[in-house]
Amino acid sequence: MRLCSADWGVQFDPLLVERIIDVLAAFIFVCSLLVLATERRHLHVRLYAVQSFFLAAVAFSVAFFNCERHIFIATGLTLILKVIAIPLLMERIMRRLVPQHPVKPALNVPSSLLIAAVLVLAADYLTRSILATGHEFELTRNVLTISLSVVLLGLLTMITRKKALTQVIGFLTMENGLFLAGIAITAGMPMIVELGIFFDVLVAAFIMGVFLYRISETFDTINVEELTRLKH
Amino acid sequence: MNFEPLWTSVEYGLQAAQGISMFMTLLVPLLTALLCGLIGTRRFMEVSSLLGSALTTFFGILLIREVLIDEPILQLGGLLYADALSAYLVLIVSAMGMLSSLYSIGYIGHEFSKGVFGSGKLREYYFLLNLFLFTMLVAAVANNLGVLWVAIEGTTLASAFLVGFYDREESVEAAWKYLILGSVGITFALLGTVLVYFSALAAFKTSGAAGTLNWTDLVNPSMASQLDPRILKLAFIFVLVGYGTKAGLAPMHTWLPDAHSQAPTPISALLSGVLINAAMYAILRFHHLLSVSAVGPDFSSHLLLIFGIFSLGIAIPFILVQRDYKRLLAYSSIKHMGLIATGVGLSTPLAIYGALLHALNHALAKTMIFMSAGNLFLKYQTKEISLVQGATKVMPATGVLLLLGTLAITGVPPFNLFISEFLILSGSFSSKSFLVGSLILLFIVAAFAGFVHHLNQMAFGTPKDHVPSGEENPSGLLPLAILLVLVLLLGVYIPGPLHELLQQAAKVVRPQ
Repeated sequence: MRLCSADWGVQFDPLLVERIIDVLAAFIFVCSLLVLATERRHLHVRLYAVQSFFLAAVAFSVAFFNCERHIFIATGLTLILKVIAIPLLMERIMRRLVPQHPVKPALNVPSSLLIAAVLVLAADYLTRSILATGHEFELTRNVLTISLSVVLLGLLTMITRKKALTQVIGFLTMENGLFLAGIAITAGMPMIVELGIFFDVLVAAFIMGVFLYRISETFDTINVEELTRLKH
Repeated sequence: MNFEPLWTSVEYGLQAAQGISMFMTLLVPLLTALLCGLIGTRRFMEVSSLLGSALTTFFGILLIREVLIDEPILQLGGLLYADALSAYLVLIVSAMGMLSSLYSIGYIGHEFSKGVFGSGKLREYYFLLNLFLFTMLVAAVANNLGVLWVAIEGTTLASAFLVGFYDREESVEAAWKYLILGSVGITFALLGTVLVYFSALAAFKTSGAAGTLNWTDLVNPSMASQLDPRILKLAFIFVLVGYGTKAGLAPMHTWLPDAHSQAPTPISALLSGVLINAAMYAILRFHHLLSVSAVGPDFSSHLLLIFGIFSLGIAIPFILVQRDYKRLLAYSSIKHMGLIATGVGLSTPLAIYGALLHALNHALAKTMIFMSAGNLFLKYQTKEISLVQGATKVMPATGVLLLLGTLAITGVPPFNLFISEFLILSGSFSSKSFLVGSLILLFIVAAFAGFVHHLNQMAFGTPKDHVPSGEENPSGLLPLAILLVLVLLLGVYIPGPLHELLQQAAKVVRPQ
């Protein structure tokens, strides 16, 4: 099948390809920031779907421009699982949960955005410390900085938000950040690993969904601050 | 009579079985899980779990034979790999799996017949138990570091429902923490794995080979020396934090006391005795990789030492003030995991040998004490230390086993943990790490004091009037008796094949 650019005999400027991937990765990062900046959980799920869409776009670009054929599979799986299946699952679970009082996050939005800025600087510092400077590494460096930032922002979301559902979204965005690194800096992991990771994430999302439901049944809330039966 | 043809055929059969032993250690538990999921009658599931895990142990022992006699094995196009270290983990997982299946018959059966949960739950239990064992065995024999990751994440997913098995507020909370912290931790481990792959890709490109995450290819000297040390160091930090979360290393340990104390007792034993070893095994694979690369062994050793000592120390105050006996045992697991990490971090052959032996010893003793605590729970229906009194009078067999288990887990001679703790200590003093040695000694003594204080209350004293005498779970005494024999045996004598296996495994941990 003629799938990637070389099959069509088209030669793209590598610099242009780099720019495209850079811009798409930047959108992924923005989605993570927005998750942190809003407290409405419907938006969280949509933002996750949008972020996954940009992730699929990055995967497609790498597959198409660099002719990494096996990444087309990752693109398809991302579209099916992360853009459609998991968000649908989350929406379904949300409808079944007991109605919620608004919950104040442990940290308000401006302060968490401030911390986010620090985390991004840290990610940038880490990336620079392990990758040689120079033009050939520019794309790798940018994407690695972004994926590290997305992982750290996901972690921050999980720590500062008290709703169990938001914690799940935080986890899923962390995993998106990771996947970005896997696709863009290493041109995809070996096939079996990639499939394994997809399978695990899907099962994890499903199990977390079941527990969301159980928490709301047993505690009448999905505010994890109420989960305080176990101490010491 | 002439027995020769018989022996020849047995030998022949063994040889045939050996070729497929690694594959069978995975296939048997997976099939058992599927059978339990499909056929949900109680007797069938109990028998098939026991037989399945016994068969797995048999193939595990064949695998050890094979690894010791021949070289490490590669199978399924390089997907599966077993050396002494993997075979050793297979032994721990399958043997403890067998004992837990045996204990489950009495314990889970007792709760089931009391109506604590229904038959659907029973089926879920046996299905997940075998699946859980399967995921740990995959982790042991995975050659691909990515598959290793998938397997370790799989252990979390398979055991999350087991932790939340009772659907009470506490167990749902524990399962949630376990799921969230376990998954987040493991995300960092995957990040570390991706970074290793990234640094390997450049090296693969220069040699013209296709990229792979196969451990055997990565540790190949010509490849390992080309990996970028800066990337490897960062990767190891992520891996240590990630798998360290599952291994219960402080400060990522906070989920562990909850999950280990809320799970049904046979699962608590597996989580505490086996799962944390599987996570530590994953760290050791990366430790080896760093040791043979340009980074050298010191970087990862020092990190393991720091995390190890920290975990040892942080568990002690919680052991001293503990009010819940299952949590007490969980904190003790953090302590022992810290000790294993410290032993590996000390990096002398003696200390590494001791640390590896300690993994098996701890698995045996912890399983034993968890099982006797489980019998206690069935009788008293509480996990509060202060509400349990006079166990030796109420249920003499369990009470005495509990006391012996306490002595074993705290490292009193002639029990097995004394030997491995002694080896780690001598390793630290012989390498002139006096500070580390004295800290280990101090923490061991403090934990001993805490344990004896708590268990003294539970075992002796006058029992409350309303508690009738007698065992609740008499069939649970069989695995306990087996464990007692093993902890005593390993306390005085290490069998030749085990010694050989440990020596070879130590060479995998610390390549010379």
